[in-house]
Amino acid sequence: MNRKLPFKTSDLKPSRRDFLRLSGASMAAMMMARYGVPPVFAQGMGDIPAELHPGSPNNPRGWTTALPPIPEGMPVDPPVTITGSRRGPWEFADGDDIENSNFTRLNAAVTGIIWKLAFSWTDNEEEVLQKYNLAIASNELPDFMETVPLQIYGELLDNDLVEDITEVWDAVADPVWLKEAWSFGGGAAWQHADVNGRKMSLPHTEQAAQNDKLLWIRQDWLDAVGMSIPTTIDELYQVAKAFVDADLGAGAEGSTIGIAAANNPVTWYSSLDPIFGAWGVMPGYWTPNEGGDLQYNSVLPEIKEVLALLRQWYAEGIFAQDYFTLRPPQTAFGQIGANTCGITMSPAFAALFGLPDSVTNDPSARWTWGDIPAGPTGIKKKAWSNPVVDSVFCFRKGFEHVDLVLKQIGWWAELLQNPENRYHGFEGTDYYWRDDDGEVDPMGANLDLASGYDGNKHIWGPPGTNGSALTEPRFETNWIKHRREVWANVPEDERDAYMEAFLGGDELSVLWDDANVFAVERWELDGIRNHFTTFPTRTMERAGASLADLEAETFVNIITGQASLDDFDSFASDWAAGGGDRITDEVNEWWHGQM
Amino acid sequence: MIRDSSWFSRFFDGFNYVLLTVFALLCLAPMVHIFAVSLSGRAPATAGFVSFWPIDFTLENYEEVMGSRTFSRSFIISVARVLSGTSLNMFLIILTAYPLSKTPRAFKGRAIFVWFFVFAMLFNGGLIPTFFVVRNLGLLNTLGSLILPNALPIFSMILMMNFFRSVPKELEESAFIDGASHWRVLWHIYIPLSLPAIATLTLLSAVNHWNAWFDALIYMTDVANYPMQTYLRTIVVELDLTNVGIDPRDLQRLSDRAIRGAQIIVATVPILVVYPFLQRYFISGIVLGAVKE
Repeated sequence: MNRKLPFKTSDLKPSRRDFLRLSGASMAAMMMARYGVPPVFAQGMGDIPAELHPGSPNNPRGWTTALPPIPEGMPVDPPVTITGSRRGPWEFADGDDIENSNFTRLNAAVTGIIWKLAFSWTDNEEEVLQKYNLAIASNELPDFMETVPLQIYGELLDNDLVEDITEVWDAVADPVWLKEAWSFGGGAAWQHADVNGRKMSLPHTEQAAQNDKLLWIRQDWLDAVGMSIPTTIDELYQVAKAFVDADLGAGAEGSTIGIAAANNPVTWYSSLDPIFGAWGVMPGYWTPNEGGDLQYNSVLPEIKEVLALLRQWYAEGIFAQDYFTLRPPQTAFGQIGANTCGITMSPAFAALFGLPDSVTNDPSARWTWGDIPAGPTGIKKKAWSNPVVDSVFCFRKGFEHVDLVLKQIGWWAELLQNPENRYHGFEGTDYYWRDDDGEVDPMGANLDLASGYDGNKHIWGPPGTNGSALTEPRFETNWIKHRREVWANVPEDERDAYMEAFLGGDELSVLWDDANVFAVERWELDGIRNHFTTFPTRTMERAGASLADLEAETFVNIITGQASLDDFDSFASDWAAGGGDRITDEVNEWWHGQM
Repeated sequence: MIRDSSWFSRFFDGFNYVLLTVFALLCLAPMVHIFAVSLSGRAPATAGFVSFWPIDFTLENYEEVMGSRTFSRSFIISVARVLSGTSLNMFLIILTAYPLSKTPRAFKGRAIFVWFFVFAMLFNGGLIPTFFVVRNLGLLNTLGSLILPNALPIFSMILMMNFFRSVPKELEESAFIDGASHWRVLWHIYIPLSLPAIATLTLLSAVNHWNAWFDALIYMTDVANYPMQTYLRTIVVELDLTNVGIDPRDLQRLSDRAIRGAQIIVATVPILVVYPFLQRYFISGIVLGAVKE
């Protein structure tokens, strides 16, 4: 995720893109007329015209983006037209669209590939299924299929509609930005893409550790009660209890909440997964037991111990009375942001989501973060956020230019993900220069990053697709390290505007950087992985929803004291009898078939 | 009318008024809530603190909605669809309903045509074959794909036909005696007399076009061509990020409940504005044509 600088879309008037319409030559003429000096354009790579380059080499406070070497045999001549599907939505400058933008123009110059849109969809889950089903039914699959949901992928594989790319991959895939980037976790990236030892697609990977929890806590409240960051579950309880007893929160008397929690114990914000993890279990996950079989964690005796603890905490007012009705963003804005709560177990991005509101509402609020607390036996675990998304990139059976697409993907992966290239998007799309009056001006001294800056989403293929699909899951931490190790050493008066913007972050963005680097370091060490990574089994499809309801209801009832703790035992037997045993058999059948 | 003034009757009336008022308020409440959310600050709106009164009053959400290229484009597409689709609907409804409203003696084979339409109303080819037809006609990603497949709403046409049949025969006969053609009879007798029905059906058709979202989902392969409701549907669906990757856009969407509120209001107001103008026809119109003498 990229950092956003304070900025409002409404500040941008259409005129901001006026200069973009000018071609390179007329722009040069305009600038010569205006400034009287010939502009210094970046050195063109081979035949790539300077106006197609990202970066701002001409601005005195700008930077030069280095383009990676053009892949062998490229650009192909004559150009090749390839059709592809895309996830939307998108907005472009005047006159540009998905098939004709800064990205496609540069891409065409580098690779010789002309992309045509076959179809697109927005975030909706049903919508993507609908569009792919229509494409399959009408026998008009695009050459390259972006973020294909597993359900569709399975259908395509069953009907032999997917191109086997094993040999082409071995021959042309970039060794660093594709092969090495996707080698983490002992081949975890390839869990869907690899089918019986053959590569049938490319993985869809996201940022590593993006959902891994840390302990976010109010430093000023810790100071007020004279305590330090808790390192064990017991200390966590003591601190939360002290916060509640001292009633440090904003709002009505007695409204302070100890620990933020949401309707699902294992979720993406204000989660309780590190508490379950402290007993080595994770509700809803399948993990191998000593005998090598996968077991469903939610029915294990350790869960009962955790529920007993949470039940006691709830009774003592550590959680909000109505915590089980809150969706995660409601805890972010309603508890953390509203300063009624000083502890949340949330990912590194909490520094950008929830915490800023807290600081806005109460400028004296000081946040800090720590590692998740350890359990009574010293176990310290959390839910592992799998960077491999349940979708793939695949090619139509019989498509002849897989090699070209792979080369393109490798080139963009290197351009976008190697911090040394200084790729920060295109002027006029991802950032603007403004003069002192706030008017857009390519020679202006003020850098203005576009809202929701996400400069890598407009080209087909993994590093550039919408939804921040990357090939290097440690992309963000690599950037943070580069900024800290390289940019920070540049003398202040030699820094360009971009370095300045990203080095001069406020307190929260520094916390975010620290937390992000730490979370990625612990990513593969502290995570409990869900080892069941395929389609729902037959019984899951039939009984899974009602079993999940039973589980959620039982957990809430036990924690809130509506049911006795021993109801857990009857839940475990009901779960087994209501399809759980059969699901376990089916899951293990798949699991042993894997090995 | 003689009023029954017994206490029970008055109690019953009062009870009805209260009940209906409560129902009316219940229908209004979600709209008022969304309106309040759309005028609230980002944080209180997302935290769910806003009920029926804005907190941290601001117009920023509307500014942002109006400034969005995607939103304004989908709005224009929706308006174009309503204008062209409704005109085409009404034109075809009237042209079809007129001959079918004639007696079988005046129009031989009328029954065959009526059954033809009724059959088409009850049965259709299904989603995929319809998609093929639209695609093979080259209509994908055009306004045509949204207005041509349902260019003649048959149910509305039957309502119109029944309305025409209730127009007294004598008017038409006297016009024919004076030498009027069918065109003249249609435009100068039937249409002026049928304004209530036409207003009603226009409203139905306009509302249908405004609210339709599914056809665009299928026929617009490029998301940039989505009309308003299809676009809205994709943004108001609540996200659950538990098992998916976090995307900066998703995070932004999660914290912009107020903006979504503003989008819903902007999308609803145009069609609400149409109602009062057609309302007086609407109530009398929907029962007219249903009863024949």
